[in-house]
Amino acid sequence: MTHRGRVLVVGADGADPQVLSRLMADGKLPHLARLCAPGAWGPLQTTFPPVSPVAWMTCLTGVLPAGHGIRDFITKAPDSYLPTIGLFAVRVGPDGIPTYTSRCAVPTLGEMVSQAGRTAFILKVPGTFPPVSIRGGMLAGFGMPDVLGTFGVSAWYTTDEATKKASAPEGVELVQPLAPAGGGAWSGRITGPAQTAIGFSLRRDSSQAVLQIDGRPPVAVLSPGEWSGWVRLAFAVPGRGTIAGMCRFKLVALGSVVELYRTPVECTPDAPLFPLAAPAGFGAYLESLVGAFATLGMPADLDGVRRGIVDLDTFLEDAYANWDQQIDMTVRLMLAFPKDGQPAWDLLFTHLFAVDNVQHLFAHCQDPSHPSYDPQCAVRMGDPIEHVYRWLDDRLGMLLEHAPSDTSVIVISDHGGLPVYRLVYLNAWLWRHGYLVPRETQPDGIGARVDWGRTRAAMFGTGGIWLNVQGREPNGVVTAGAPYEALRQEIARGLLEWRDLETGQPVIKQVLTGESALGSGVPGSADARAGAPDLMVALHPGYGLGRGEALGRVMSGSTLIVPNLSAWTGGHEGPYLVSDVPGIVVIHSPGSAPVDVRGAGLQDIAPTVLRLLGIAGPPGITGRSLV
Amino acid sequence: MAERKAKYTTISIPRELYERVGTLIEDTGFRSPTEYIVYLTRQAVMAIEADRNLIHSLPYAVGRDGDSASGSARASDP
Repeated sequence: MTHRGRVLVVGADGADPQVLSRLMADGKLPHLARLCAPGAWGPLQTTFPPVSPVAWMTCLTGVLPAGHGIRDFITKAPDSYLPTIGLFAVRVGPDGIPTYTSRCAVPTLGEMVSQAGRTAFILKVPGTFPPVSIRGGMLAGFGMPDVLGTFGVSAWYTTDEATKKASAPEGVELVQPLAPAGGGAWSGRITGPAQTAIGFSLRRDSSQAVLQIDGRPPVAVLSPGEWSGWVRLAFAVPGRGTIAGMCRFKLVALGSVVELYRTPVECTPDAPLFPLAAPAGFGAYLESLVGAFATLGMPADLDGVRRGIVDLDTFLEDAYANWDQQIDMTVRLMLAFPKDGQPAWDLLFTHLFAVDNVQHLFAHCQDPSHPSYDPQCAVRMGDPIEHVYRWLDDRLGMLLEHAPSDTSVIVISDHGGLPVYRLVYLNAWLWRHGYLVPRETQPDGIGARVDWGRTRAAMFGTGGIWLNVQGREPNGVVTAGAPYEALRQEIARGLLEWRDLETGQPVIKQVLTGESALGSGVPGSADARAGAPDLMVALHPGYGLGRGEALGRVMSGSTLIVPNLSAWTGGHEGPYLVSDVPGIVVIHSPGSAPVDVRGAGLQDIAPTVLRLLGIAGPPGITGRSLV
Repeated sequence: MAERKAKYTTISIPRELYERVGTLIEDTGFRSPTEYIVYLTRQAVMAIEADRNLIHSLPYAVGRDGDSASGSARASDP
């Protein structure tokens, strides 16, 4: 342990090694290229499933998912057939406000650095909610909810509710009325926590609209296409007092139809309803540096786009504003706390969702073979994916410009990104092959419930299949032991034989046992299989899971495979094998020992950072240092 | 006159459990096993609802149980 340096980690969620190599070869990523010495960059093995919270927590803990305990977005409760969020446990107090407990069972990098007496700032890394108090500060990443306790629910207010709802059946819940209020004004309501609401009015004033909240003085005067700043809201919750929130508005249209977009109502940095930062005052401190900022764990309205309500321009305007502000926050934090002319931080780790988010929604834009390809998208929007990589490179340049010259820089992504051409229904396959029995005829657009008394296997979450085992599940029908193992093998064999009849291609690339997919060596648990699925399915690239089945339901009315005509045109969650959707790692460490990233995995990042800082890693870490 | 739905209903739990709850809640402020069981059930229901709220707002492909496959999807499999 010879180094006592300083480390900057830039988490570029979703950055794909192939795209990155191509753009770098074309000279379009100059700052990244400057860091990429031979041997010091390359693919980075992701986790299985390759989803952000699972992967980033492996990065932060140095152990595989079975070791840290965050295994998927959605999982099955161990003692019932209830689907449950995989990141944290939720409880609700008598006042109706949720509280959250992380499922992460081991210390994260910020804690390790902190325990060594060094200072770390960890900004918005997925899975770090609720944040843990460290020497320095931690700002919660994906998982941090809005004031409604959701991952972010926006609203589209309109004077023509019927037309908007008809245009996007999956998004009707987001469409809200703008009701005539006389005198060229309209009124609407903003839903708050615990069934509260606040009224607002929008009044036409020539070619602009004046926005007032709760009868107070105007908070914004907007032209069509213009955004407000952050607007603070105060919800009076009985038994709880006032709960603060904030949102931004965009006046979309002010013609014969009036439309107003509202972002999710987020927690405020200075008085968050949910634990935004640790220590608690860290959020307010960051606000003092950059003003009010997006606090949602994933500060971009992918859900609004996915549901067909929010247009891509509005999405990009909102998202880039938030991502740019996070860059500004990182730079200011880098320069704050001067100590003898040097920044006081030892580790600064900032995570950006930009590349991931754009790849999800724009994979079709430049790909004529994609079922959702629209030539007009390419003409009008250019290449949004190339644009976001170049944005990332430009902002990386800003960070490098402000980092002290002796800073070691690590750029990593948790996985890559692929176009998704066709969607498959795994529970429907289990039904067609006699392993799953629906309890009802499939309701329109909703997965049918499962008859657990007659079902032997079903999928929850991202391709995890649970067998309905006697003694383990409430209505188990599969005998443990040899019959269980035989069934497991039979299903795996059947899935591997599944062919897409339209293309003739196999659909399933590999079927893994839960214990092998999630990794062995379990510092936080005595049993790697506790609560894990019995099988985990890896799809061939190009396929993705169809919606409607992740909660253990079955799309029994669907064909098994359909073209992907959804707004979610690209992905990484597949689930795909770790070798099919790797991330990237770049290590630039002036004066350190040689770097060798061959065969590197996400679990190697925490030990590498610790080595660069001269800190001995705690026992239990299974990753290795790359320097 | 329209028939009104009763405000309360009866559920059955094992007597042995009911008696254990009765012992457990002594000096806790709960006035009866029923009151305590209603309290616990309400908390559990709200927690599941809060969990569902999160799941339903998850934008990732796994996120919702209420979304249909595209209505214009072409059949590719019998």
